[in-house]
Amino acid sequence: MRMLMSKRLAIGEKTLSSIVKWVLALTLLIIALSAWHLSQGSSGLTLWDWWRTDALSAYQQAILADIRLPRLVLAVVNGAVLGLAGAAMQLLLRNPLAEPGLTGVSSGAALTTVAVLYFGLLPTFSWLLPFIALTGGLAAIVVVVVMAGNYADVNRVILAGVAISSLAGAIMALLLYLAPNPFAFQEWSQWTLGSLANRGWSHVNLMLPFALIGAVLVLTQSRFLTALTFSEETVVSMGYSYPTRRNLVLIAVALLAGSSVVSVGIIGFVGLLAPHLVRLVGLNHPKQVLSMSALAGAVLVLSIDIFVRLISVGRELPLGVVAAVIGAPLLIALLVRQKSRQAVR
Amino acid sequence: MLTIENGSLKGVTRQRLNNITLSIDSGKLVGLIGPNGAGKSSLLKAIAGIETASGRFSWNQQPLSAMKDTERANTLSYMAQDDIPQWDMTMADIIDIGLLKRRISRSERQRRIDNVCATLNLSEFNGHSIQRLSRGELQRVLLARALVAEPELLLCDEPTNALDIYHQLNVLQLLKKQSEHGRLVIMAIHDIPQAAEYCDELILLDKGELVCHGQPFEVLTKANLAETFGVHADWICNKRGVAWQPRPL
Repeated sequence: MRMLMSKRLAIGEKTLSSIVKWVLALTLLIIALSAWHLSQGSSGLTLWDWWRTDALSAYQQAILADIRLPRLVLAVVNGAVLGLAGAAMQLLLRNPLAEPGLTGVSSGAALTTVAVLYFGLLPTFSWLLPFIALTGGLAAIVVVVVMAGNYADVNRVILAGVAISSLAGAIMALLLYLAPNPFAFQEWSQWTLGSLANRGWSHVNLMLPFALIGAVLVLTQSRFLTALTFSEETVVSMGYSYPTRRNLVLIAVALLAGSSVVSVGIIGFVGLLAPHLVRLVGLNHPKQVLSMSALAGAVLVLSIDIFVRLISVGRELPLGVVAAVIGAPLLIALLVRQKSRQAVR
Repeated sequence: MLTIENGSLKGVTRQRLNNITLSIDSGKLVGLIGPNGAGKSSLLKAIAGIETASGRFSWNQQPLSAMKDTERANTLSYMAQDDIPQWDMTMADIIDIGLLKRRISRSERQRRIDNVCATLNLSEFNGHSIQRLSRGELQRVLLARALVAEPELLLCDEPTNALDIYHQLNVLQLLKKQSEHGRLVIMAIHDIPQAAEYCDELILLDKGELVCHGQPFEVLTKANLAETFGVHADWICNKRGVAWQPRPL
């Protein structure tokens, strides 16, 4: 009888026990990393100092509240947002190599920014720049959605995304080439290379609404994304209206990725890597991948930002670049691992 | 009962289905046969509502196109050809996907999954990740995903494709059993002797047109086979079963 009981099938048998374990582990890790993160900074104040001193000076309070805390919040939220967006893209496109950039959002946002810089509109519209960039990103996703059309075929989305991204990239390169201002490239790179340096609460306020709407939208579609374990045809036969829900997820991913791009610039590879790390520890159910990728993304961006400040002696390296430098080899290692596992099979 | 009146489906270069009219009673295993490109998959997709065909497709006099998405999904299940799950999950989680659209309790879902696993001899694989299953075993899991919603109409696109002969017969027997339980099972199949042996009715399609619909012996005539497949066939029928020896015309 005992044998029979233990042999009983269970839906989400792996889900509950192991997901609780991993959520706890990652949450603790995020708390620990946050403490470390808060201790870093040019002023040399550490968490230990705060612990020891009963009352903080106004100066110290300002450092904590206006510099370090927003940076920490931005790191966590951006990581979570990118991880969630990456997981949603991979599930939606049924492709482990998909990433939020495939929506064309980042390149659309970058192109509009370059255009604003090129036409010298920046002085007039400087405070509007993030919104202009976000509009550009959302315009790109609209084009992708229109190009993908009413077909139940993910390849159309992938091709449309690649086409829009390359087109935006080409126009951007052209604008930079023709730019009368020799510093155009530098200005642009300052903006696009993802970095958490010199950010404040205004950036948090800027991204949070879009990030929240995007996250809620993605999570409402988690059943649909789970169904997409099977082909689009099967999903349609199960009673899901595919193009509508696909567009909804794409817009949600655009809001997530867009909110990240306008607040801290382009941070590559986190969206791609986070879901892979989650699958690597054996959490394969799409619902697990969605929620855990958000946590994994937060851990990734936090650790990379800590690393960036550990290695920077003079000038702080842009987080986006470091993320790609660390992320790309890590991804290759994962792929090699995956390939060899399949070869054995 | 499934009735199709003037079912047509346009393709990019040619008509994929052309004025198909037929009706099939429940409780039967029906084989869709025909050469490549005859419209077997197209007909299944048109019935399943995956592709919007013109004409009238109704289930028990109720037009399928007028049904809400969830209502249609409650009526029919569609099993696509070689639809291998993209992500490595446990067998129970894969089968559970067939119940995603149902608002039923967890214990009821569990009960249904247990039932379908018992029917399809899958109970021994509980808790296994699907990567550990053989292709033949996986095919039964995919069938379980389609059956767990307890549909009245089951549509299978080449369910025996890519399986060895043991698992081919296994799947055919399971489908036969489903039809005996009162479901209507329609499957596209390439193996003509197997179709003749297992199916109650056959539908022969060619270039999107309905050539013949009836019992196997009515459909698989020398003339029909010569016309559609371009083969000359000698039938060997005896008590042990059916076999044929096709030769090019």
